[in-house]
Amino acid sequence: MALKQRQDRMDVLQGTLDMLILQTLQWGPQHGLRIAQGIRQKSEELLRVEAGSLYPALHRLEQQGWLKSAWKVSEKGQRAKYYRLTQSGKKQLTAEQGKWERFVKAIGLVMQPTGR
Amino acid sequence: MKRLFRRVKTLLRWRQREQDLQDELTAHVAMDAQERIEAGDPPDTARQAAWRDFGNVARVTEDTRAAWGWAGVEQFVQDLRYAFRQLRRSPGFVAVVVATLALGIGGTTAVFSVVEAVLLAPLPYEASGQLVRFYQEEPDVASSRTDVTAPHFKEIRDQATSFEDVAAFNERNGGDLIAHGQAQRLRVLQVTSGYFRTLRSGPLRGRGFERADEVGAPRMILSDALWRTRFDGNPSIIGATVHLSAEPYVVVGIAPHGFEDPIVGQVDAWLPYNLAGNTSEENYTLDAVGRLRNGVSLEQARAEIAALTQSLAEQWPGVRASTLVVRPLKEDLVAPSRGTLHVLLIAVGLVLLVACANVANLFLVRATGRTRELAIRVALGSGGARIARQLLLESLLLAAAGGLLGLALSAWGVHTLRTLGHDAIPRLAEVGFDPMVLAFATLVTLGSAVGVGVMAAIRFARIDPSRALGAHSRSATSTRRHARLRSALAAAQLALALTLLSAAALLMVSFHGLQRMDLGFRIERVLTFDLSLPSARYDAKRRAAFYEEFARRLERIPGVTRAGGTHHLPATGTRHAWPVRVDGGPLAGTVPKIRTGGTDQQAEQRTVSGDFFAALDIPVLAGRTFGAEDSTNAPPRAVVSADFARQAFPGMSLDNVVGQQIAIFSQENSIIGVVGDVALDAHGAPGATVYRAHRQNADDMNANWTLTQVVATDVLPERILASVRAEVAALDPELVVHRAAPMTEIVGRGVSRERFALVLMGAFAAVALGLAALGLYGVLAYTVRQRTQEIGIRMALGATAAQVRVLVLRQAALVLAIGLVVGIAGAMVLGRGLSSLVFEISPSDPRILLAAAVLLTITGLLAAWLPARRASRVAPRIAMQEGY
Repeated sequence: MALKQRQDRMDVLQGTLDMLILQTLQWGPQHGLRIAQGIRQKSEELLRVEAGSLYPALHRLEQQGWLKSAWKVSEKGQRAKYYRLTQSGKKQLTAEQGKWERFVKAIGLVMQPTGR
Repeated sequence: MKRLFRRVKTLLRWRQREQDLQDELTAHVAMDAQERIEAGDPPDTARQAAWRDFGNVARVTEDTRAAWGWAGVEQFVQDLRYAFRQLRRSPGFVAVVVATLALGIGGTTAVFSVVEAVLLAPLPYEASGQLVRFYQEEPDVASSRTDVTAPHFKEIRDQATSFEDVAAFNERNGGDLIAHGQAQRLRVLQVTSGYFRTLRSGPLRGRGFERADEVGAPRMILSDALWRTRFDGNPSIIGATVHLSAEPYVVVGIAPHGFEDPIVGQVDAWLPYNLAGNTSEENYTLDAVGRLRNGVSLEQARAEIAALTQSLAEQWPGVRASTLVVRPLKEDLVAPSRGTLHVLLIAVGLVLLVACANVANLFLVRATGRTRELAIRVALGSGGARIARQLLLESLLLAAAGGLLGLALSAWGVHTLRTLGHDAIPRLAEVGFDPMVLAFATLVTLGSAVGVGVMAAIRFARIDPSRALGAHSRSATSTRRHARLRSALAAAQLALALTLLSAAALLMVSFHGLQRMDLGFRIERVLTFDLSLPSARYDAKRRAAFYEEFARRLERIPGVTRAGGTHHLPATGTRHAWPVRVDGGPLAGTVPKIRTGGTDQQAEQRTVSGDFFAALDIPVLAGRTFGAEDSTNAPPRAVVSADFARQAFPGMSLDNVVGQQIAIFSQENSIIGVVGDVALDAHGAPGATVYRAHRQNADDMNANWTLTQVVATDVLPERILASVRAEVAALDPELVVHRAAPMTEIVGRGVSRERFALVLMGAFAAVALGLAALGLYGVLAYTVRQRTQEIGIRMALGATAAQVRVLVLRQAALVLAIGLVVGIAGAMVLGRGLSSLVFEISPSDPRILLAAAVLLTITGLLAAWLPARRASRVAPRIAMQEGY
């Protein structure tokens, strides 16, 4: 592999984070802070999502057309930018899930080579 | 497209988004702090913790901004760098691919630049779309189209109002310019006064011809090139007297730099044409052009000319080609080459397709070799689109390199085309690189990049990492599908090669036929050259004596058998088709239509000297040819060709034709002999001809005939040229031997377009065949390598080497068979486009197709033999070793 190590790791994070965001938004529109909190709680505090990764990811996903954003007033009366899953975002989520499952299987195969 | 649109919109609302982002991030921190306060933290601590948790705001802002659209650019740069690195690792692959693509792109660009310059670019005159050419023809007989007579042109010039100006011209017998003690033969055009105005090419210096010049004292306009080379670019030459073949002319102007005649091409000097002096309404000798007035359409001009034709027909009821025709000048000039050039462009396009298919195959094989690498990339998060983009980027890089090299190649190709085609295609001097050609090359390069990479890109965009990475197994179905795709590509290459091969074979057989054709006269070992006698020192009587004496002297040169002269060589087209009145036989008293050169025209007139007929081995069928008794004082006599005799004296035996009378422009001639027919052009069009002795007509129509000498030799004609020059110098040191060439070359020029097409098509076919053979070889070699294990097992189980070979050859045969079937269909289609270039053979002649198919099969089997042999030598033990 000729890819630089640092970029490889970023790819993994990016790919996964996108999927996690999409998954979180499945339950309805949410703003950035709540998305980060959601992922953290759902993963039993194992995954921490930095703002430095979250916002680029949100904006990129919006750029791809998988999310749409709008300013709304939060439950506590504060103005916040809410993201919601689009139709193609839902499709992407399904694809990402499938891809993820295959990936896990592939890694599994590599890590446990068939005895030859 | 949608994404692009979104990205553009993003860029437009950049500022608003910037503010939006700030708001969004601030809101994040504010909400976080609020929640901490609600959880019981003191406000200050809560705010600090929220900010700390958030991290470096500037960094987050920057990273997020990057997601707005610049990420794509960054990724692209990454991919580009990656592609470079990948390609640098396989220099052999790159070299083969770039060379193959360069061949295709370069060839296509070269041929296109010719097509562009000849067919598409406007003529090199101001507002050249307004230029038209005039012809005359028999009512509704397009094949009788001929140049214009002086009286008809005069009518156009005096009556028609659709034209800003009109001009008529014809090429005069060249003149010799003696300067610095050296004679130079000039190409001289006689033109009417409107010539430079019509072409909107006012002379750079001095003035053009005025109406008065047509009849006044002899004037001359020099070409810029002649002025610079022979008169040192000295402007004082205007007004000075220059001698042309010892006749004085006053120079009135110098033509603009680079100016060429649209029909004749390069001209050294222009003289006024005495239009009033030519009153014959049946002498179709003038090239005539005109410029439409601003705002006048071609249709309007045609309508006016049609009306004019009516009145002309009433004025001269006897004129056969009585209808005047107007054609756009450019269309008129390039139409004959259009078919040839289009076919060649298609042919070279097919070569490009072969090259692309070849490279696409290499590309597929290479991508297959990289399956694991690509699969890992997908597993690591690269989307399929990104993989496809990566592969396309690599093919784009390769195509760009190929395109650049191709451009260099095409510069060389254009040079070759110009040399090869200068007799065959008009306007070749104008061929060069211009933005249009560059745009075309770029387009072709991009097309090649897509064509080469798209299949690999589609295949590998859907790569499935878990399967591709699963142990060593290649998925059987996908392998089979790949193999089928590669075989299809190889078959396509073979089919295209066969199409080109049969086209080349067709042209070759046709050309061979042309060369073997009996033109009715001797072509081998005949030297030809022009010798003109300046009127100032040679009056008609001296000219008559000189040419006869000269022929006898030539015959005394060792190696020369017979010598004579004619004012126009056979098989070089029509010249001086004059009306002949028949004064005997069934058509007595009429001017019969004589069918010549495939059209109803008039008989060709030739003035001959010396032993012309014997020198060219033209047989005497009845009577005799000219001899000493046909002197200047004897009554005029003529020799006619058998074709003329049959048409002018239908039903009479050739022996009876001898002794008949014919009148040429009211000159009574008695026929003394009938000779064999000679072809009017190199394609063998029959020409009915009337020959008259030069010495009896040395001042006919006030013409000083330049006679082209024909010298039959029993050695190589070039070998006697020095002796000929010496002989000429001994007779008159100021005379010059011009345009010396063997007759084979003269006749060859007549088929130069066919030769041009043949040479190019042959080259294209050879390249395509070579590439297709390589393609087939590549596919088979790859299959053999892939199936080494299987082959090893088969051999271990007792398969013989021959059986293994058959295994490989069977695949080759299948690919070949598909290629043959498709190729033959393609050949039939392309062949139809060639019909204007082929001669006396059907484009779908089965023998041609068969020959091409056999050649392709042999080449294909040769290409298949190596992989087959390698397969049969697989050692079972090695093949089954692990990891093979």
